[in-house]
Amino acid sequence: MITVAVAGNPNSGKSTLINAIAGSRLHVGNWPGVTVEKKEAVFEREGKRIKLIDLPGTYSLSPYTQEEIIARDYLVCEKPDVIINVVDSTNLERNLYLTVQLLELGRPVIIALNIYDEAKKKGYRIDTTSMEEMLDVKVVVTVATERTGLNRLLAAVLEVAGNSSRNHSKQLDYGEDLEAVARVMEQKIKQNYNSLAKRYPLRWFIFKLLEGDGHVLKEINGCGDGLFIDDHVQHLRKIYGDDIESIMANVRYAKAAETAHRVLSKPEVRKIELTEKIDSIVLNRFLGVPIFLGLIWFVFKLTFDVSTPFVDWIDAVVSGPLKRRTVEMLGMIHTPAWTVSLATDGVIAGVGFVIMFVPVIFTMMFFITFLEGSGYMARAAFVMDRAMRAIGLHGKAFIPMVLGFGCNVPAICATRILENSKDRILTALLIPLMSCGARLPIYVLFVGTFFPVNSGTVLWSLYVMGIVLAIVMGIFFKKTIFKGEPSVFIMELPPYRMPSFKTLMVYTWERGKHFLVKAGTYILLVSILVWFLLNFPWGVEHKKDSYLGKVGQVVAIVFKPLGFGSWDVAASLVTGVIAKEIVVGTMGEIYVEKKEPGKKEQQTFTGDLKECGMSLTNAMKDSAKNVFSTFWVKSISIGGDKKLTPLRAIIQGTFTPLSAYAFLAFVLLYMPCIVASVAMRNEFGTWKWVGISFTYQIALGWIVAFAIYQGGKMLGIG
Amino acid sequence: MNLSMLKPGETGKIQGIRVTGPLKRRLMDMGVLVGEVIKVIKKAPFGDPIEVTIKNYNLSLRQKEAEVIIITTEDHQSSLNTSFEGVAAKGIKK
Repeated sequence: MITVAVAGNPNSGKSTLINAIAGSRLHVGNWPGVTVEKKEAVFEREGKRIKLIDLPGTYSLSPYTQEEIIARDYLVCEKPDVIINVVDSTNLERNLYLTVQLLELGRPVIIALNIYDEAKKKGYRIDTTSMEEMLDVKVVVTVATERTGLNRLLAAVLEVAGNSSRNHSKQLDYGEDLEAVARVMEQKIKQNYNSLAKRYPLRWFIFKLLEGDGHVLKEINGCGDGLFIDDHVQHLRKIYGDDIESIMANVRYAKAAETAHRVLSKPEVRKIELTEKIDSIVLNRFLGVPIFLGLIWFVFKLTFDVSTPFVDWIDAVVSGPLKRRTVEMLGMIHTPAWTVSLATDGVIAGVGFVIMFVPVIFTMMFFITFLEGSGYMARAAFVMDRAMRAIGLHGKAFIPMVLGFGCNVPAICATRILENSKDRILTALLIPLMSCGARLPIYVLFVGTFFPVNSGTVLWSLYVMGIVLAIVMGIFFKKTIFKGEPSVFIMELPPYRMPSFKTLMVYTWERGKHFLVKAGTYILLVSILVWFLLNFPWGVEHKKDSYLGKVGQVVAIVFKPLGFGSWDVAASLVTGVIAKEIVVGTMGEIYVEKKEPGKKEQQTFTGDLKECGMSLTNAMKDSAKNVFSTFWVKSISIGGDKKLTPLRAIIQGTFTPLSAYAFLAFVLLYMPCIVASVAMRNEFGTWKWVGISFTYQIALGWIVAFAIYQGGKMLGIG
Repeated sequence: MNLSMLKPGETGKIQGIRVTGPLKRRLMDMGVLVGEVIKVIKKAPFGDPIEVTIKNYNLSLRQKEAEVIIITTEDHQSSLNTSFEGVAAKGIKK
């Protein structure tokens, strides 16, 4: 098996390249012990098995960020057979800085000169032959978005892996003084630390010792006296008149610059590029913020309008034909009543509630992935940094915050892009206030039922409420738990790029799938548990007398002043601890009994099929119609004019619009779900922050819902 | 004079980074090195952070971080296209 590590700068098109090569064989997981995404693929090529490992995108191998440490540890400890270094052809010098560091590792390197089409468009010409000579590596021109050069790249991998004379990389000349020091140290290490010399790439090891890298220093365990490291550092310092870190950075960048200068020819006159044109509008002093807010609003409206007809359709199919058929089938084999109940009200209802939200989640993930892949996410951070800093957050924190709208779980994982642990924790504490996709089911149901006319606006107000409260809480936390300097903000603004459709789909799919698997497992279990609590002791006349009903009755007292003090709502909220989408599921469970029991619909199997097909066609039509009407300001009703699904009819009797809004605010705020809590724990290694998150959110949710309901009543609303 | 004093459209040549530790390392990894020419492109809508061009790509940093980057504004136009030489001279010479 040939192991191939793929390394490169962020925005070098690395993900697209890997997707193009591996496609469906790509396996997405996590690096052990951390939540940084790890992508792997194993496949065969000319009878040889190749294992492709995607390293996190990094600018350097200096061990400061989690990503850099992961990439470095893998390269140093696992010693891949080949390193594919994905290089952005339009940004050669800075990309080659990483290449120079990779060459220190002594493993064979192949450069994938990616995004070559854009470089050509800019009028760049890159002399790959002289690049190969200078760095003694294979250079392959690729355009990952068009799948160009992939065969040549894989051929190069096989060639390099099969050729033992190529099984190394060239050692670039770092200048006489540095090389002299390296030679002396190499000899000493070979004499005194022979095992280390075998375990680590020696040249890399020596430079890390000079740079004072903690991890490497630990390896020689304080007995580095014989190496005279300090003396060497002092010596170099005198010659270069600079500290050792600067010397190393300068030397490496000099190599990158020298190479880039020699192989790259650029046109004299630079064209004004598309990125600059877009940025002059998008980052405009007056337009920047409104454009950003408008874009987010637009994305959510589109997500909502496109997916709602499908949500309604799935809801109708699951609660209608699917349930009828199951009851009929189980009836034929004389299944006991409680099993029928478990299958339909527990399992099918639970699964149904998960599937129902597939369209919303996937559409949402699609847009978020698009924003990330296009380069706009970095602009969002740039535009928002000043504002984010006011609440003690880094502009980069905006990215996990935005991800939080899709799902809090990956958002909490994404706090990793922040370098400072205070930033990470604070961001993670505020993320649950970002209204995630799992809360959308509840909004869909309630907003569609109570505010059919201005559903878009009401929905938007909930998202804004979350953001405003995040600001308030951010300032609060900054003044209480977190005091100190904000972290650094050094971020590339990559050129705008059209993300490749395939990459977009793969990522949307992976993220959507992740959500579904996570939600599916938990929801199914909880759905069954809730069914048990609801139906046991078996044969209870009223749901109110069930176990869940009893819990609900106690908790309901707390919710009285908020306008939704009934036991059923309280019971639903209790089950929402596991995942917020379950609130709707529980309501479905509770209200199932209230569905007009006398009216037994007689439908034939073919009749059911026909009904499903017809309603699907209608859903598609509605969805398409909604896409276009989104471009006009006119708001679309969320299935408001259609016949209400059974659940909708029932909640209309339980809530008033005012108490419904207070309820939605409470749902938005009241606690992170179990999965988000687990993610938070993983991230920070302690339940402490999870506890803080629960406490402040319940308090906040209660206060806000109280203010809305009581305030609204005083104003005479509802 | 430091980078934060430049207005959008103005350029300067880096003379030094007046800070140590991770921030300096990060800046250097991103190509902010002595001898490089740096150009301020624009400021964010709220006036901070700023966008600069260095090594032919766009980077954003906060005013506070720009303050540690010491620059001169004269005698850099000629080295605009051959900025690597300044670095190379520093790194490889000798």
